[in-house]
Amino acid sequence: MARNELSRTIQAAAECFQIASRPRYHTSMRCTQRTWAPPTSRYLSTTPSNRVGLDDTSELSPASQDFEPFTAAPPIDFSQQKEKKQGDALLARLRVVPASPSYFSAKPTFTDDFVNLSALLRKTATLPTVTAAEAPKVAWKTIDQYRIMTNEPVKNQRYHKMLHILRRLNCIHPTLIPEEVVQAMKRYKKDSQPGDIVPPPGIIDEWGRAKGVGRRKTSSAIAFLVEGNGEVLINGQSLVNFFGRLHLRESAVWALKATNRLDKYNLFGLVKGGGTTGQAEAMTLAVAKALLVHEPALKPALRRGKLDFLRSSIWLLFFLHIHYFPYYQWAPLHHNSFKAHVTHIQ
Amino acid sequence: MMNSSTCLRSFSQLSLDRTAHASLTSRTLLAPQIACFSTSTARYNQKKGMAAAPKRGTRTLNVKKGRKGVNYEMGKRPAPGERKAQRKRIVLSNDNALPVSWLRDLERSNVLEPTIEGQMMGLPERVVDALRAEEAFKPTQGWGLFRRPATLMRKETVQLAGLVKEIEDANAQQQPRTIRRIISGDRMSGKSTLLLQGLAIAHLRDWFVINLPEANDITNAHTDYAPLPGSQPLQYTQDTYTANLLRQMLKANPSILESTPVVTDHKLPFPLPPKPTLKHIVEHGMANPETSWVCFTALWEELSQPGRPPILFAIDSLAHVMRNSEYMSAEFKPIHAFDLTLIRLFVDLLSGQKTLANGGIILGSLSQSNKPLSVVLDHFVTIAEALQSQPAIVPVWNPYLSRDQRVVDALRGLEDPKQKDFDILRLGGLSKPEARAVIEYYAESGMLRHTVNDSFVTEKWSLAGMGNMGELEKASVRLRL
Amino acid sequence: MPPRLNVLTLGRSIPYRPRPQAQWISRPSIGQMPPQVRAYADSKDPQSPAADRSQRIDAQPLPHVSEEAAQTAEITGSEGPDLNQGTPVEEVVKGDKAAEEKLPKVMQDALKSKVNSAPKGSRSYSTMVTPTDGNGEVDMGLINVQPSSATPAMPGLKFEMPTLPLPKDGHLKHRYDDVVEQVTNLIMRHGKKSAAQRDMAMILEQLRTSSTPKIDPSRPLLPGAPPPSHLPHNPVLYLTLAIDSVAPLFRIRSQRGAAGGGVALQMPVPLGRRQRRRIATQWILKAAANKRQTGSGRGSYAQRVASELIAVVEGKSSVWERRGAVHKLGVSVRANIVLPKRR
Repeated sequence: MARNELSRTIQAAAECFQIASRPRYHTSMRCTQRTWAPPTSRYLSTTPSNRVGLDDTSELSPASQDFEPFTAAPPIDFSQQKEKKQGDALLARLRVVPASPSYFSAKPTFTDDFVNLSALLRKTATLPTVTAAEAPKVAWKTIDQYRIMTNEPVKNQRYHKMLHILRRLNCIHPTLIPEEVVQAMKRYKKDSQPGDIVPPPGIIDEWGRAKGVGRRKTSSAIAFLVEGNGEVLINGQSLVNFFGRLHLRESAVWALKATNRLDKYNLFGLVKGGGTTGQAEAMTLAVAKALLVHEPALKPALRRGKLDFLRSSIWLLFFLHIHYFPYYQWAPLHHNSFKAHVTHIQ
Repeated sequence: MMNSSTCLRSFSQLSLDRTAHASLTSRTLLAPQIACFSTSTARYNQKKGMAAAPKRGTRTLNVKKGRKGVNYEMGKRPAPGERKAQRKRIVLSNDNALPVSWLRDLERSNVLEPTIEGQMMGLPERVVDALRAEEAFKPTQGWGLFRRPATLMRKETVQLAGLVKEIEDANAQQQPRTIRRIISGDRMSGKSTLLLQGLAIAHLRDWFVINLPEANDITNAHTDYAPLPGSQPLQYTQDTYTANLLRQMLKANPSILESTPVVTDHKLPFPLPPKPTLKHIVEHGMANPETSWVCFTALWEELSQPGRPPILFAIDSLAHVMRNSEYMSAEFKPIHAFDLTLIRLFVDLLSGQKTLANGGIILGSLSQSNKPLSVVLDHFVTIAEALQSQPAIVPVWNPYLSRDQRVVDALRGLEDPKQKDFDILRLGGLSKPEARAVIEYYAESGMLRHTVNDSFVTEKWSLAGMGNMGELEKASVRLRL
Repeated sequence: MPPRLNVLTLGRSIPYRPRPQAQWISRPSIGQMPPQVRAYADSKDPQSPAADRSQRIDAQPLPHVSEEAAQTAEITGSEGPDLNQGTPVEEVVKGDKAAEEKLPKVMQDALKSKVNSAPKGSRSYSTMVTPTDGNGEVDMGLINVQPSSATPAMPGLKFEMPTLPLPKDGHLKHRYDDVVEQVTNLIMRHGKKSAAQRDMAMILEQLRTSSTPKIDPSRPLLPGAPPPSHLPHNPVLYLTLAIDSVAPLFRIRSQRGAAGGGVALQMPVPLGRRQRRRIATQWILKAAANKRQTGSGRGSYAQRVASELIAVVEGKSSVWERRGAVHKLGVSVRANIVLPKRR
């Protein structure tokens, strides 16, 4: 009998996994499930299955509720069963063990999330990774946003532990990352991600000017850059008349100076607001942006940090069809077979 | 600069007894011979018990929060005049700088050649001495960084040399001309240096050179003054200043003054030795400030005799003379700078009321850093600049501004495009080849440690505001951290 | 279908580290920078710094393998390796069986695979650490900006690409020398950096125009310092040398209660490079502020600081006594240092 029960439990679990949009608590009495479980409620999970927040949003009316509605699982009343005797008999020899450790907690959402992500990481731990710096940039939800979403008083440290798992998942190589992981991570991402808003590409107008805008402190600057021979006018004045300090003059044209292009362009700048330092450094940014319109490949030279420089230099190499690193040579080739392999593991 | 500054004569004397100034002798009797003008003496001569400034480093009653009332600078005070001497000190050589092998000297023969344009040229020893005597070198200029003084023969310098050549050609044809120029340009664009170059050219061509090194020193009432007897309207002489100017002239033009004999009788109030030369007049004026103006006019008349060399008369920071001076008249009205005799002479020459008998150049240089407001001068300079660059658009006078009619009369010639002799000399930025020549000179002197190539030159050229000479020097030599 | 990739090889994650694109070309702007560490015993060395030990033949490093080969080739009259390009390790060990066996596996494989194939191309950059010019001499600090030859046909560029990564002073925030920046910040009062920079520039100008310092043999500068006649030509080096020479090696820390009876226990604490410079600069600035003010106007402070720096290099400054006092105290209290027990 025990073996029977076990097989039924497994069967139920399998059904849960296949049919139900969300994991439910289950007992051997499948027939009563519907009455116990209102569709919007959250339950214990009994399987380490892929539970994604997407389902919730489809079930909710997003305008009315900021967070996921939650009701605790009702107690299992075996006396209400259809065949009471059978229920009592069952209870006499069966012990219900919740599959999820969060069954006994009043607010189990976080624990569920954590358990699911841990399971996901266990499953995908063997996939090749990139370094954290190379991983796609993701803006995770802040703890406050997560608390509002789940309506749970999640502790800071615990949330950071979960973020740690998420970051590790994010480090799976982008070409090999399973769809399951992508979907799972969506729940924890902010609505807008870095890189979502792509500024319109700069254009060079009919007079050969490229425009760039920069701001710093309370100053704002507009730079118009044309190919020329190193003449600079700021608000109609020469650089010397506008910026008395040599330091500020250098700052204003730093993008051109650092890339040895001071003699190749003419600059017309308009600055307003703030003090001299702010104006000069606003002009720095404006000139750099305008220069990037003329020469997009200068991005690595103008970049601030070293890591970003490395990443973009890789794209530069791609551009040049130079494959310094052999990984790129085989990765596209074996992509499909690798995917197949991953699904096979699942 | 006046070496010994003499106190402004007591004004009450001037107003009470105007008849006392009828003759020179009475003036000398009245004048107190020595009165130190330094403001720092009072502190040193203080008697005990008088309220004196607290000594440095002592605790004062300054109870401002966060300060202990003790001065951080505990050093001793310098002696009177020491600070000023330090400030005005002019260093013309740097022993650490490497000698530049290819540097050629300016000479009498090559200074008027247009081929030297765009080259660095050294100043010969004799000219350096003369220029130093005339205080043509300024402490803010970077002479002290290099082995020996050298200048860039820029486009405008060659233009100035062309004017010198024109004057000499006209003199050769017995038609002396007086050319008047006002040097204008941006701040640090090299106006004073161009003036210095003009002086150097004139020295090399054996002209007679008079330089008023700083107009501010004439009009700021730091030297004594006295009404000139018999002048109508009343003019004022500056005896100490004139005596010092005579000293500078003697140092700067020794050969001309020594070799030129006095030919006319000036009825001087002092006896001259037999077979007098101009040097005797000048020396007497130097030694006796009360006769300095008489000596100066006598010298001027002598120089106007036929056969004498052409004259270069120059003044720096011209704006200071185009307004009232700081001196006060007996009626306690400000004295217009044009009523000072030296400036009157210069302005008459500049406006064309007087001409130089043997030809010459009247050169005035503007200043952008120490510049009193003179709307009329600014207006005429912009008009002249517009006439040079775009004659179609000439600015008009703003009728709501009050204007100084005497200055307008003096500068009217600038408005007239037909007056070729009176114009401005606009100093722009250096061209890139010129900038390259300068930067190569810097590098060769060891003051700039960088390979000189086109991109480097253009970088400095741009950072110097499209070739502003002073900024170029700052950017490449002086302010390199 | 068996997977084409071996799962086991993917068992460990593959860190993705792209090869850096270009080699860092160190700029010898402070090519003559003396070593920052001085053995304590050296301070009593009566030798003048001009006769330092770096001139001895045994102190000079062995030449690079390519240079050695080039010199040999020059002697034998044959054509040696190009010095502008480094020598690959494979070439160095070529023919040397014992060395080949000790090569890493990857290189052994590579050697085997291209035994018969000629190298595909030569490197366009040097792997040598010390930049050399034609004479094999170390660059004296003159900055050489070499105009690179041809414009690369790279999309998105109109003119030639600047050498990446940019030189050290190519960053907006680090455009000045380290020491100059630090001293400027120490000169700065009330956040007036512009005034401090002006003062700094004037100090350097004073150093540049001052006469050659006379070194006091009893107060030697750092070993390896250039001869004093070179100093005014490189005022930044002058400043660095003055500060680094007089910088204390440690400070005295007073630990309360450690000695017992209310007496503070003094013990020397070693200082980092920046800390040492900071203390030395503060001493120098303080000494300069106490000097008699001779001039007026903007340059007078700079003039005093510069003369103090010159006094430091000439060994006349009182800062040396301060340094000596700290070191003397440090020697006497070094017994108080409690080192962790070695297991």
